[in-house]
Amino acid sequence: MANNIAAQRIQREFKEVIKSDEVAKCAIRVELVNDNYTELKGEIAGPPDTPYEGGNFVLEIKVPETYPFNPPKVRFITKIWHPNISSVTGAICLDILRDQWAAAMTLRTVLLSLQALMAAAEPDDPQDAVVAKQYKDDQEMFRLTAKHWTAKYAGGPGGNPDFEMKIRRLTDMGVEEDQARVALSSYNWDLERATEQLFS
Amino acid sequence: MSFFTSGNTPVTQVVATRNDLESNEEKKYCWVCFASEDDDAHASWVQPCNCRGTTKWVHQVCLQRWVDEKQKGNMSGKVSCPQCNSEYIIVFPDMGPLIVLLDAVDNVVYKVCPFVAAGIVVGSIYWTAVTYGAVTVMQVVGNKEAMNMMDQVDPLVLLVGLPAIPIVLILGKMVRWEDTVLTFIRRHSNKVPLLKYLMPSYVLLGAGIDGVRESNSDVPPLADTVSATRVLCGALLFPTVATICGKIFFDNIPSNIQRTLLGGITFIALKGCLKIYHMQQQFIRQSKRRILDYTPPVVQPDPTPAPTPTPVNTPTQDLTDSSQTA
Repeated sequence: MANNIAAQRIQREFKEVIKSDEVAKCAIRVELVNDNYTELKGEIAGPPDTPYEGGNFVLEIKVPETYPFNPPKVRFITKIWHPNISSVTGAICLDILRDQWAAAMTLRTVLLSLQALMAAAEPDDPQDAVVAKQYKDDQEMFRLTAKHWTAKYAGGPGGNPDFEMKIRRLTDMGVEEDQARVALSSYNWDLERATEQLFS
Repeated sequence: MSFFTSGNTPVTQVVATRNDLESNEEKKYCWVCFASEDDDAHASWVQPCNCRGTTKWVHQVCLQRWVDEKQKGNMSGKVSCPQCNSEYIIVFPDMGPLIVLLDAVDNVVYKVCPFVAAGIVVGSIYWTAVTYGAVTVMQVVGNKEAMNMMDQVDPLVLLVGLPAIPIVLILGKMVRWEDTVLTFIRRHSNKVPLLKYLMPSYVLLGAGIDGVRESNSDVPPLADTVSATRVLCGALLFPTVATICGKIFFDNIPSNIQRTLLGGITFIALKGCLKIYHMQQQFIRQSKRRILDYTPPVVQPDPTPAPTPTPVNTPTQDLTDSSQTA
């Protein structure tokens, strides 16, 4: 019966998301992954005037059997450089996905909240401490890095030839590209320190 | 009102939008399961908080499930609306005086049980102590004499005195008189020739083999930790051991109590001497230990693997070391 409520509600929500204005504006989208409404794929457009602008971010949404009494489990599939999102696993630190969840919230409000989180990070309650530190210490460096990640993983505009060159230097040494990007991003694109960390 | 009286065209518009809103609001949507009135005509609805719009209405059943989820088993916990923060008013039907009484009894039993359990544990320990005390008296004094004695004494004294026996034994066991004696011997051994004879190795040490460690007080005493189980076993077995020692060494004494007392004193003295000797030897071993220089393992032609460096405090090592320093 519990499973039934969850499935029925997701079905009804589905209609709501499909109907909503945000879909018309291509801001959010939800797709089914399997037939029994337990796993969904979400998509968020990077909000304008942020380093994520122009990117398309894919999310994994797992609906628990106890939905809507418990929040859905959401994480980013698309790699993203953000203080409240793990750059490694895509895990999200957002109160409404934990203890502040309310049954009146929907997939739509969750996706919109995530979009708002992308536009306004909370570096004091971080999921990724390295990103949060950079966000606090060097806003411009953070912006460039996040933009680079958006271009690389989320199909955003503009590359960064300097960053690309540094990554190539590391991949030439046999480092995997993603690993090289994480190391460089973590050390403010200081090639020497990133190399040191990778080979120590 | 002014809308209706002012121009012609806006009036119809205003009315139309108002109708829209009303029809929208009248159609109930449950904010938990998102079903509308059309989906289930028989479900009972509730409007539990100050919310308006899409979170105004909710199914009675759905809201109860949400409340259960928030209370997490605490049936009297308070739950508020996650949006408007107004507290839900939950009423229970009156089930009659019997249920009220059962609830009260349940509550009292729940609160009293920890105290009763603690009482049982304390009582059990007390009676165990009384029994132990009685058995010990019988062991030390002898069965018949003990029975006569306990008959004569006031029962109140017995109830206090008998459990005091194991307590006194344990407290006595915790007195570490051997340490005091050992410290005394260390301080005065050089002045008493007999002690020099009894503990030659110590005097050798004191003569200054190891200049850095000459002062004894700097060295932490070995085996300083007091094991609780060891104290307990030692204290509670002491009367039995004393009786046995009395029978072995003083069989010719007819009085039970005298024999056991003498046996106990003998045992304490013997054990104390052994312990002091042991502690002193441990101390010397600790003081004379050496850490060896590293030597790279030499590949030897024989098939057995090269011997690993022997532990520093083995007797052979001690011998070679002292011979080198001497």
